[in-house]
Amino acid sequence: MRTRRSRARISLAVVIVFAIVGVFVVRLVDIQLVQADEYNAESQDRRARTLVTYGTRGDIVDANGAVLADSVLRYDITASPRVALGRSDAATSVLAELTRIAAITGQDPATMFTEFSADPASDFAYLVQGVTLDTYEKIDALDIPWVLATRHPARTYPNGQIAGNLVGFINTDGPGAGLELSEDECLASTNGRSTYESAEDGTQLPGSVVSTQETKDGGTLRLTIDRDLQWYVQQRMQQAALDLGATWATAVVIRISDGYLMSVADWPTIDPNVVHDGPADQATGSRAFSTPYEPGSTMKALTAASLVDAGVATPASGVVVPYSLEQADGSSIHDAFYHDTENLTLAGALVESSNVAVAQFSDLLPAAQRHDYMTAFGLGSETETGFLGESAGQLPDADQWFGRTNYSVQYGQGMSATSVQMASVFQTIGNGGLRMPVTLVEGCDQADGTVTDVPSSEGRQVLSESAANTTVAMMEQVANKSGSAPNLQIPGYRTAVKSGTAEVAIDGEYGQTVTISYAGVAPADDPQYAVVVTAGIPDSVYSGLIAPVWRDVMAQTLTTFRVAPSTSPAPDLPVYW
Amino acid sequence: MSNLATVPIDRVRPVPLGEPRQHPRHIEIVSTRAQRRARPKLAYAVITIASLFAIFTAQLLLSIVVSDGAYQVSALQDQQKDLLRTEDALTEQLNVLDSTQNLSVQAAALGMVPNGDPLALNLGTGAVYGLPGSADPAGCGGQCGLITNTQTAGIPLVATVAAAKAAAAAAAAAAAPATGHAETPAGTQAPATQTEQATVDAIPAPVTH
Repeated sequence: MRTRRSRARISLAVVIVFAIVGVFVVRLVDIQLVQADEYNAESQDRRARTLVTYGTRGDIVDANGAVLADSVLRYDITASPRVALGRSDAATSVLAELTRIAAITGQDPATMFTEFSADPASDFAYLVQGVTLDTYEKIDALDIPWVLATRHPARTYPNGQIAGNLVGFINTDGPGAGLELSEDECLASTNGRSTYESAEDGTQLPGSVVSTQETKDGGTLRLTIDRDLQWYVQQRMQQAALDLGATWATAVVIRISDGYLMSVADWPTIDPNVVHDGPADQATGSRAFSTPYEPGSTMKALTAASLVDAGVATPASGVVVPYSLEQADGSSIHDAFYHDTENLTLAGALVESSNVAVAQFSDLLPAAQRHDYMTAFGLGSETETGFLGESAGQLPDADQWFGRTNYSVQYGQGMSATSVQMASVFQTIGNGGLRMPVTLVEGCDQADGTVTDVPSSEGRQVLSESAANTTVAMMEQVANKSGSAPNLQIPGYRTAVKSGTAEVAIDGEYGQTVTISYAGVAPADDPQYAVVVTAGIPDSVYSGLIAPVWRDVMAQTLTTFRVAPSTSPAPDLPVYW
Repeated sequence: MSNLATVPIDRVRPVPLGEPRQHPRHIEIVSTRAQRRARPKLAYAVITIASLFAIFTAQLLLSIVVSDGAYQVSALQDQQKDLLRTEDALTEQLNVLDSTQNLSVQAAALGMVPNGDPLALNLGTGAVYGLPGSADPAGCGGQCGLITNTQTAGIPLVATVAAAKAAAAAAAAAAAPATGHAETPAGTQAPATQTEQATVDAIPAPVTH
């Protein structure tokens, strides 16, 4: 009996031991295998800290490396009202400490205190936002226990309004306009993320850093713009717009040899630093790219170039020019100012800016061919810059050129173009008929040393070299013989220009309002730069008012780039025959 | 074989069985050389334990050094971060000081005026191309400072700062020569046109083209 009882006891013990071991095994499997990932993650969470390293957004620089848009660090000074006001001596100490901060930031301590104590239970209140490192360090040195600073990247534009029309801005949601938005792929940075295990005092445990994402800085966007020239041109255009009572003004300076834009000025424009504070309808883009206008008589240079290139006219070809010319459909075209019937040459048609003469010369070439020339010059299609919101302008098909339109497109009415497109037309004429792609971005220097966004340098021969040079010579006659000639002279340099006064259509009706412009190249013996200046809706309808502006902008361009003066005298082409 | 056969039987005395017990001290079990070699020695144990201690100590020291290095790395990284931030802040300030608006205002305050007409000098022949236009006293061909920049607000004029410094120096030294320096910035406005004229005159036999 005794053996049987002891055997039963042993069996029971074994069963119990096995049961307990079984429970442990089940739990072990549960922890080590079933829930392993969960527990690992939880332990990692407790030991590990995540470190975010901020990548820096790339700068936007001008052709010489002057910084137009800059990434900086700003500090928000925050505090905990609950902690501060919960102290025994809160009544006196908080105001005293706020006064010390206010002395640094220039705020009003009383207002600060009111705002700060608005919600005494809150753990978070801004004292001041977006201060610089300098201010932050001073506040940090005060060593106030309930004050905390958070750091965040921000954007500044050290040159203010200079090229504000092109650079654009960053608003609270990210890139808001201009190159900041359209070239975001180049400029944007990637924040890095790494985890490490920290000691009790926050020091990284050696060898515990695991990088989960590499930090990538943004690329530097290099523009073709020259900052100092841009400043001058913007200033000059604003002066002109204010003097002329215009509602808008644009100017474009383009380098003839490669189609690089040296300056694209718009008035009005913005200071990207204060874009949040400005009026809602402020000009945040670039009118020179986005808003086409009927260019008017500056188109006559293109017309003359087309006719000479096609071989149907020479500068000496002549037509008899009455003041007004009746059309088959009953409409009439006439010149801007009354004159008796004249015998004008093609060069004379440009000097006198005669619509009637240009209309008669245009008959020498079929509409389709004239349209092809305009297309080849880049009218009716966007430029190669890909600027945000750029317009292609309007160029009706040749089969839409009925009656008067057949001629008016040749002197810049019934079609439209942007200032940049017009600058490209004069670049082509100045460059021996070789149109170069219009370029605003010279390249994007990536953080890893590679260069992207390299512009194309493949040109398109629009005119023969001789036709282009002949056109420049005819434009020189305008600079030397037209009514505004005295205002177009730059001592030491030969200039070649064409004026333009275009009626502005409002709701499809041409009225009293106009756009006045001057476009041309210099030095005429070896053109280096083309300049187009335009003012919209000035008080007076006379294009000559903007001639001195063209002259000043061109003179400054020649000075800035140290262009060698002309060495030969200007040709003298007859105006009459 | 024959000898054995001749030994008489009685002379062979059998050794009694109890006899070896009477002389136990004469016989000892001697361990073989192999057995002696196999026996553990104290030295080995001492060496093993000492090595273990050495390893533990080395490991401890190494870990102290490594964690000390970690603190050093951490401190240096913090220092590097601070220095980079300072550099960034200084670059930011420099960019603002370098802005065209600031430079043009500073230059105008120092009495510098731009020439509206391009002027070129051929160093080979000494020939001057272009005509020196009349200097624009306003310095910007009309209304100035139209292209605004909020960043440049509050930057003091170099001329004013220089004047203040010179005045302070003059006050401190109370010496006569310092007064001359103090007046220089205020007096620059007038000599500007003279300087320009002098430059033109200084060119050997200039020929206006």
